Amino acid sequence: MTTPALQFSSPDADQIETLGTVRYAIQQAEVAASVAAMRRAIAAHYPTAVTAHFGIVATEETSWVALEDVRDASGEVIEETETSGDGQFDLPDSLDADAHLTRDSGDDFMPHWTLDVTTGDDTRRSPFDLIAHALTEANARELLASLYARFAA
Amino acid sequence: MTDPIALSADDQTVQAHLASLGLALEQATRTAKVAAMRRAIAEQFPEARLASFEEVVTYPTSTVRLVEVLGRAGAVIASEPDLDNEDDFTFASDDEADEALDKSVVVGGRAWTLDLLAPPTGDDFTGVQQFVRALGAQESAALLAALQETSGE
Repeated sequence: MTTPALQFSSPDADQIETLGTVRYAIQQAEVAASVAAMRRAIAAHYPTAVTAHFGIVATEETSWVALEDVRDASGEVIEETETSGDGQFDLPDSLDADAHLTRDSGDDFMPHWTLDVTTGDDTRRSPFDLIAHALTEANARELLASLYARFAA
Repeated sequence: MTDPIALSADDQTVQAHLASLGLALEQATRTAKVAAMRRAIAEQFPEARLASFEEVVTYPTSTVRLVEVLGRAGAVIASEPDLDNEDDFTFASDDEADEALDKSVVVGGRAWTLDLLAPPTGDDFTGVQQFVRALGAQESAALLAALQETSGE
C-alpha cells in the first residue's frame, strides 16, 4: 500500500496561508514607509532635488536596490550622494522596487528606477495604518476578531 | 564635505516598529508551522517519537527539511517521506530552524530534531491569535484602532 504524502490539515494550511498574507502586508507596509521616509530625507537634504535614481546591487548570494544619485530639475546630478551607510536607502529587491518606484531604464539584468521626490503622498502614516491598508478584507476581519477577543479577555 | 543623507528619527522609529511587528509575525508563523507539522506527522505515523531534519544546500540559500521520522524505539519509520508541499516541512534558514527545532551537531554537519512527544505549544491558538498575543498592549490597541478606522467599524 502506498503511504499518502504528508500534508498539513486544511485548517492548518489555511492558518499558515493567512499568516503569510499578513506577513506580506507588513512587508509592503515596511517598503511603503521606507520609500516615504527616503523621499522626505532627500527633499530635506537637497531642497533642489527633483528625482532620485536607484540601481540594482548584486552579490553572489543576494541583490537589492540602492540609491545611486539625486538630480535637480535640469537632470544634473546634484552632488556625489552619500547615504548613512546602513541600508536606509536600500529596498529589499527589484519586485518591491517595481511596486513603489518607476522603472525607467535598463534591461531585466541591470534595471534602474526613479523616485519623484517632489510629488506623492507625503503623509506620515503610523505603522498600524500602513498594515491595515495593506491587508486583505478577510485578513483584516480575522485580525480584528482576534484583537477584540484579546481585549474582551 | 556634506553630511550623509539619513532618515529622520521619526521615520526610523516607524521602521523599527514595523520590523518588530514583522518579527512577532514570524514567531507566530514558526509556532503555527511546528504545531501543524507535529499534527500532520502524528496523524500519519501514530507511533512517531521524533522528526529529524537536515540541511539541504540550495542556491542562493540553504534550507532545513524533514528527512526522517523515528519511532518510540528509535527506529526509522519513514525515510524521506513524500511531502505534499515541501515548503510546509522546510525551514528557510539555519536561524529559522534553530528557533523552531532542537539543533545538534552530528558527524559531518548539523541536524535538527522535533520532539513529537514534547508538550505542544501554541496548539490552543490560531496563528493570528498567536501574533496578537505576541504584541504588546499598546501595539494591540493601535492596530485595533487602525483596523476599525479602515474597515469602518
